[in-house]
Amino acid sequence: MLSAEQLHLVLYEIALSIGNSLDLRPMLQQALSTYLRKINCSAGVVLELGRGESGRNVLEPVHTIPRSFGQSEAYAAILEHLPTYVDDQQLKQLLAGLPARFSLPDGICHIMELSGFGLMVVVSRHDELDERILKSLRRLNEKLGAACQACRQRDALQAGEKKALDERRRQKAIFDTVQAGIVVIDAQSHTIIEANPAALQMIGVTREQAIGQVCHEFICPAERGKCPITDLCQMVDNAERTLIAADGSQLPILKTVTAVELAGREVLIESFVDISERMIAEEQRRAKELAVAANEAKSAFLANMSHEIRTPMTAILGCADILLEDMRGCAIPAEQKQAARTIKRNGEHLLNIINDILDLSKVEAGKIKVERVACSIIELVSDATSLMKGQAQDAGLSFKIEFEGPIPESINTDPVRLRQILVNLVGNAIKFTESGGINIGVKFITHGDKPQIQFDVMDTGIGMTAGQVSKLFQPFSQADASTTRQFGGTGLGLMISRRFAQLLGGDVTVISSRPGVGTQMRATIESGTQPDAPMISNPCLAEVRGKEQVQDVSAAVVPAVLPQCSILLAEDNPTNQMIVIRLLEKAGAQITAVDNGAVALERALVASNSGRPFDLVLMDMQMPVMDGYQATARLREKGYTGPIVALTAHAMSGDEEKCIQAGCNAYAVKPINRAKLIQTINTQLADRGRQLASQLA
Amino acid sequence: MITKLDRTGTVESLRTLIEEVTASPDVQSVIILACDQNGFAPEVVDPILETVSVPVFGGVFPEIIHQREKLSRGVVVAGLADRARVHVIPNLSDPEADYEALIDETSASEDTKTMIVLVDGLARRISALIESIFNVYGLEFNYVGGGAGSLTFEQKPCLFTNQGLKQDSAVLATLSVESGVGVSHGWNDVAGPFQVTESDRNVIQSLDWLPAFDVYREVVEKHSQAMLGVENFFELAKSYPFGIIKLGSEKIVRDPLMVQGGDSLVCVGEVPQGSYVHILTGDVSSLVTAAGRALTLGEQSFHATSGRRTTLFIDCISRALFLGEQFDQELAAVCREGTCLIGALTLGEIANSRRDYLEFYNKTSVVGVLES
Repeated sequence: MLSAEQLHLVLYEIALSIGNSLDLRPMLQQALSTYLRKINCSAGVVLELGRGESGRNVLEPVHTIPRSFGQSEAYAAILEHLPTYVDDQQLKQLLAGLPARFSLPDGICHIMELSGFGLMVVVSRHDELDERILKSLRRLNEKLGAACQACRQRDALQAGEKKALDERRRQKAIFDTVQAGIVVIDAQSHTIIEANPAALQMIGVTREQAIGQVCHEFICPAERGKCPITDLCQMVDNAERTLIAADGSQLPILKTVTAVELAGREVLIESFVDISERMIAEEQRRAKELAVAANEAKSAFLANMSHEIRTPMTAILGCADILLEDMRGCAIPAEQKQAARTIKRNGEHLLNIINDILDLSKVEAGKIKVERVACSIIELVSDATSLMKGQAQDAGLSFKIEFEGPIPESINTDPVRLRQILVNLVGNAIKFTESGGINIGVKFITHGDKPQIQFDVMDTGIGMTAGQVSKLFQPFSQADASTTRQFGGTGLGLMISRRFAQLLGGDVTVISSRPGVGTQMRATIESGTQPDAPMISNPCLAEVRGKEQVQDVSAAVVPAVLPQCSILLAEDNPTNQMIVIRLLEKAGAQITAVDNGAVALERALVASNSGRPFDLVLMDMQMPVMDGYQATARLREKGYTGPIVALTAHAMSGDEEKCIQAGCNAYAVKPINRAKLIQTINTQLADRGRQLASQLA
Repeated sequence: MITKLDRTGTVESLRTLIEEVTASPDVQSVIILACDQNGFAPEVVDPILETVSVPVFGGVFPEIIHQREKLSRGVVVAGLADRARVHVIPNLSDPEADYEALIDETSASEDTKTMIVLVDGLARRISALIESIFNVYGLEFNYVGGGAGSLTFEQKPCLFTNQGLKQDSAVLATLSVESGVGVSHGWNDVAGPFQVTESDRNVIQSLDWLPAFDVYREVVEKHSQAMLGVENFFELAKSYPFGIIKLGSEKIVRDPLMVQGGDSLVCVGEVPQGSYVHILTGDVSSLVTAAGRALTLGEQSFHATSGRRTTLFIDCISRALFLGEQFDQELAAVCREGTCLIGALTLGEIANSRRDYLEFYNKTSVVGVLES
């Protein structure tokens, strides 16, 4: 039987072994090993009671002696008595039943509470520990529990300290590496107490040179007693300021100053970035904006000029057409007829000049968009040259087209622009050739790794000197001033053609030219074909002629008349109104004319609601009271579905899209091209007819 | 188990015995128990050990035992039919050494039933090693062993391994043979308890806040009626060890070896600061009875089905010194007729029979009954 004194001595020794370290594991190693030795137990485990993720109580072993005990059968048997997860009620029951003991296959297990921490389990392979010992151990277990808690609190504290240290390291890393300069200044003395590398670099000093300096004598232009922050109570937040560098230079900076208290000391944290480059960039941006604004103003001017010229031109050409038509078959003096033709020819010439100026403006503004669609090179050449051929023949010139070698059945290019190039080159050749003829050669070549179509236009005209050739592609420049006087033109056509050819992946060049002998011009464009594209091995003129004939026939069948229809014409200019009425009535239409969009809107809706809608609305887009865009949009808003054709003198890039966006179905440009207008109206009426038919069906 | 005895203690006879024992194809491991007086030096012994083709382990002790004979010169070489796994743990006095990590690197086969632990008995961190062994391997097998070394208390190479004689080390040899282990000492309280108020590992500096030697001397002189001085310290102190209290068990004995600095007592094994100790003494009868009890406990815990067994007797040298000529009685108490007995008189004993916390004992009889 153990004496009370011996028991006390054992307990005392155990007590001395508890809490000798604030690290949980070594503390428990010493305490638990002493514990086990002194009470003659062979194994023990300390379990910590915690909260699991599910919110339930979790008992987790934190220290086991011997370590291998955790893998023993005895330990597995203990776990059956101590489930890992227990709810509050189970935990309450478990604690109320402590100390507890139960038998294991080779020993006796004792479970005791470690107050405030968890449980301790010890295994004796001798006799069980009697009640007196277990009761005596309770105070020790309270002490051991408290010691374990202290270790955990220290862990938490250390974790907090480590977190704080990590945060400090993170802040220092930011402070040292951020591209913005940061200077910390004592608010009382205005001395610099810290500066980051970016700030030191901007100031041009070392840290040692900066620390202790008074800021307004060192980096800030403010005078003593006039600190914007501390003396003048100003807010400095993203404000443009000046930093004085060590070499006296002044650096524009964007600066923010924040007053904070650090360790009981009021400090100013100044952060700033060098905006020298930004200011340069800003100036460049402003210059660019001005340039863009000037360009836009130029575009607007051109648009306005185009509109303002086209509107009277519509009247001039329209009236000339009417006069010439009325004169047909009438006994009118030849001089009068000639005068009417002169008005029309010069009007058209003026219109071409305007068109050229607009094209050039678009090219220079980068607003020309080329498309690439599949098209037949034979048909394209045929289309472009059919009219020119007539002109050449009228001028007594021969006109010949030759295809050299095989050509692709189909190429991918912009047929409108290519046609424009060919018409310009051939037109020039005809214009500057008095006798002889025009030869056009078409050839499929490979330039670098790109397949191209090459067009050579050779004439036997007046030719050019080398000096004249060098000025050929400059705007408003022809071979020389006398040329302009003799042959007319603006000198823009070749330049525009060249820009178009370049946009299509090629160029326009002068191959040869000799005064009095003639000129060979060459246009190239990318064919946009694959190497294995089908080829026509022997293209010939016959095919071209055949196409021409077909085209001529098709052109001949285009009717210059309209079916019986009612058209609402909105046009504010009385002359133009008169011309359009005359033109369309003659073609067979019944016209109702109004002079602004508001009236047009009202008339169209009234007619539609009365069951007798107009078959088509012809809408001038620029009118007083309500313009055509607004009137069209309002009509569409109110469910008007009839065709609306825009009629506008705006011929700049984007004007057509603007009209379509407003709700128009088609677009016709002033001055009025009679045939085109009638064709457009016919197309719209036919579409509308099909639409109504399908609705009825 | 094949056992060979040599009484000459020469290197040549060591070589001969090893060759004779390992000549048997049944021998898979070799245990060597040698006397300190043989004067085995590493430079001559190491070449022999390095050529042994089977695992070898053992120690140089103050004296060795063969049957009922205690020898102060000579060698016992025993051949085991079981192939031992032998691990050497170095730097047993290094205060920074992490023995648990080193032991983690060792491995015991799944069928290990017994571990023989031999240590340099004059190393300073034996208790730390013992605790680490227990922490890693626990109570999975029986432990038996003790401290090798010299009674001159001069630390020198004293552990046999295949790599030669080792100093300041421990040798852990795991065996798959069954064993039974008994531990007892027979020392009883004379005075105490005294609180160990200051200690540094195995050096007690103060007891009850008085110089340790003063307290100890007063008790010993009073009980022995003899004067205790620094010169005759060990002669008298061998009869008066310290005992550390433990519930439900015999006290753990600590043997005071010498006086250090006039006040402190150097013991074999650690005496934790804060622990309570008694001063113990014994007599021939109590010690011999305890040795017999150790044998009985060892036999009781031996569960081998085979009838063949060998007794490995690890007895503290101080018990032999205390008993003098009566040590024959202790040998008689542990020697059964018809059973091979080999052993050593050690500087500290190590034992556990899967029931207690593994301890480093002093002045204690440890009987290991090994299946052979």
